[in-house]
Amino acid sequence: MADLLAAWALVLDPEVLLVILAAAFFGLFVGAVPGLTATMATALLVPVTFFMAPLPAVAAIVACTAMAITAGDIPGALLRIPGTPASAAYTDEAYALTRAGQPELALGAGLVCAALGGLFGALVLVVAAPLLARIALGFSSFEYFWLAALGLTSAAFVSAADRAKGVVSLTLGLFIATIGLDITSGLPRFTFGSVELMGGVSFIPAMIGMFAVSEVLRNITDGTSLGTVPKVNVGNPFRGLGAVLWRYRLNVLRGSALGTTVGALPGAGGDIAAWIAYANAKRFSKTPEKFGQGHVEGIVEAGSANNSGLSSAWVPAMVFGIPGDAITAIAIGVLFMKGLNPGPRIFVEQPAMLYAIFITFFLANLLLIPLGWLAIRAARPVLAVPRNLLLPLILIFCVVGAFAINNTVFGIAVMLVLGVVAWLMESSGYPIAPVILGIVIGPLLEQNFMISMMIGDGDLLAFFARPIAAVLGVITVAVWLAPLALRLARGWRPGPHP
Amino acid sequence: MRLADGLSGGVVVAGAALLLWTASGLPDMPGQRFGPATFPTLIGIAMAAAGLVVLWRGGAERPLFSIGTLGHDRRVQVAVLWLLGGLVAMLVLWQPVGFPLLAAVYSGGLMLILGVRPLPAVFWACAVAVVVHLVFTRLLLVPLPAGPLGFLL
Repeated sequence: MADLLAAWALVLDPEVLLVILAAAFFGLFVGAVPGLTATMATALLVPVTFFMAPLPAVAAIVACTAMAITAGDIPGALLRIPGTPASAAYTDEAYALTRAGQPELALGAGLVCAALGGLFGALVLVVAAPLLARIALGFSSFEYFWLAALGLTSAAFVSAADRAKGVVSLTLGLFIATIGLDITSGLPRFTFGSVELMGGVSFIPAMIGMFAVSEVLRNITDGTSLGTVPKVNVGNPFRGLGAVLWRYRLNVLRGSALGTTVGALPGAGGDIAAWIAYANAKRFSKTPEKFGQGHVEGIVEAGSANNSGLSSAWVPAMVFGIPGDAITAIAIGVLFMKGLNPGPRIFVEQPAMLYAIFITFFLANLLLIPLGWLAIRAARPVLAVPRNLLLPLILIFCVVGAFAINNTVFGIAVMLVLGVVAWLMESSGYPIAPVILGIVIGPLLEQNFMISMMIGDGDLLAFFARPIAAVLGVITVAVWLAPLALRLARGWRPGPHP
Repeated sequence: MRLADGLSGGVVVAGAALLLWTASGLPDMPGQRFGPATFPTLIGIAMAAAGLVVLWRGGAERPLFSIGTLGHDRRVQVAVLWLLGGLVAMLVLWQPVGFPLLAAVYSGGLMLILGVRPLPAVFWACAVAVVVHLVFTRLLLVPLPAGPLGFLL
């Protein structure tokens, strides 16, 4: 109880509240601009959080991402351009409602369901994280190695439509993580004599390059008009919404539960949760024929799922230090920078700080309703900011952010190189999120492997000697072998007789 | 700009081969079964295997690469050249020219190339460069170089 009171005192600090509000407005703006993602908003925010105390830094990320994901619905519904990938699942549905003269229904349902889903995910985070942390306190390097391996495997397999390309992206991230001085021997690896590379590739310039610079390049080269000013008019988004939410209450619950489950899987996150929830809504609907023609049921379920997934992605991040998606990967980087090493010890050593972080989740999701309403009302001026004016200004923030971490232009060079690489990769069908997860989880994986092998005297079977490690190991190996087994099973299935 | 799977898979396999070759030159740790080369070698093997799958699957795909709007839209070509060349120029001119001038010229130039009218382009580029410089140097204490405008800012 004392910890909870201390947590409230931390959150109610005017600086923290101001940061949450400012980050929320920033997230709303970035999310509402078509083509700019929630991950990009987080990437641009990180250099600023570098100069904040730990709690406002994390609170800024939480508020910014929740707002950006929700604001992504606005251009999706009004222009048929999803503001963020998480909104893409139901963009056509929302746009069909707009064409039918009901943009406020699409936007209102998306907004309120996002808040409900986010609160559901936050509740699961509060309940599940401490329970898991209690179990995780008994974990050693063997269990952490398997958890990291499982996280990386899910990242490669779940986040990519093409598994081989997902593995390529992941190995690129892991390779980047090996650059610099080796963690056990202290020998330089892949530094090619560069003193700058001895300290490794800095995570923040890498992330800004891969998410922000590549987005700017994609926006410039994708051939769409950069100066479009749309004409939109939206009424009260809350009119008649109560009846709609009551009618589809089961969808809200199912979407939130599914989003929470999928979001907690490493490598999955809210984007995938929204697609699965939309498909589920259609499958279980009494009126599946209405889907695609402006039916709010899919928006309710997928809208609840993407924000609940966003909150639950923090469960593996806080408990094991293993990110659930690209945004939590960035957040883990920030936590490390702030000396708040994520993992089960944080639950014992800094409970007040942890509760304070949990409270910010509830605050951010409650703020969604009034701020989201403001964003919907202000949709026209936000959408009217021409991208040909905005993109060059974003680049300036990228340059400053990449420089500010180590106060060296080497950060700008890293940002440039990885920005071009990410642009080429993305346009050729290679996912970017596994690269970032590889950079974050890579050192954890290698360090725990080397420590385990020193303990186990080089015997690989030591990874299966402890019960939880053995279970995690078997699950990981099964996931690795599943595609091969499926292929073989398909090959052995008797074909049709002539 | 899109690389066909046949080409991108080939690049990945070549990169993996280079990684494995470089990793093979890393020394062992005395008395240890695993050393600094272990992880890079495993990463190289996984990268090569995944690259081979992409290469094998997309071997017949043509054309090997398509450059989309970069091939025919003059404005896009100049914009990409300015965007990337400008960042390279920043690396060289960061200290002598300073952040405010570089940022204003870089962002203003890109705005003009992308079709923003000259007056708003100059106004926004200069305003943002000065505000960002002041916020980051005065409030966040980031040592952004002021260059020749040091006497003003």
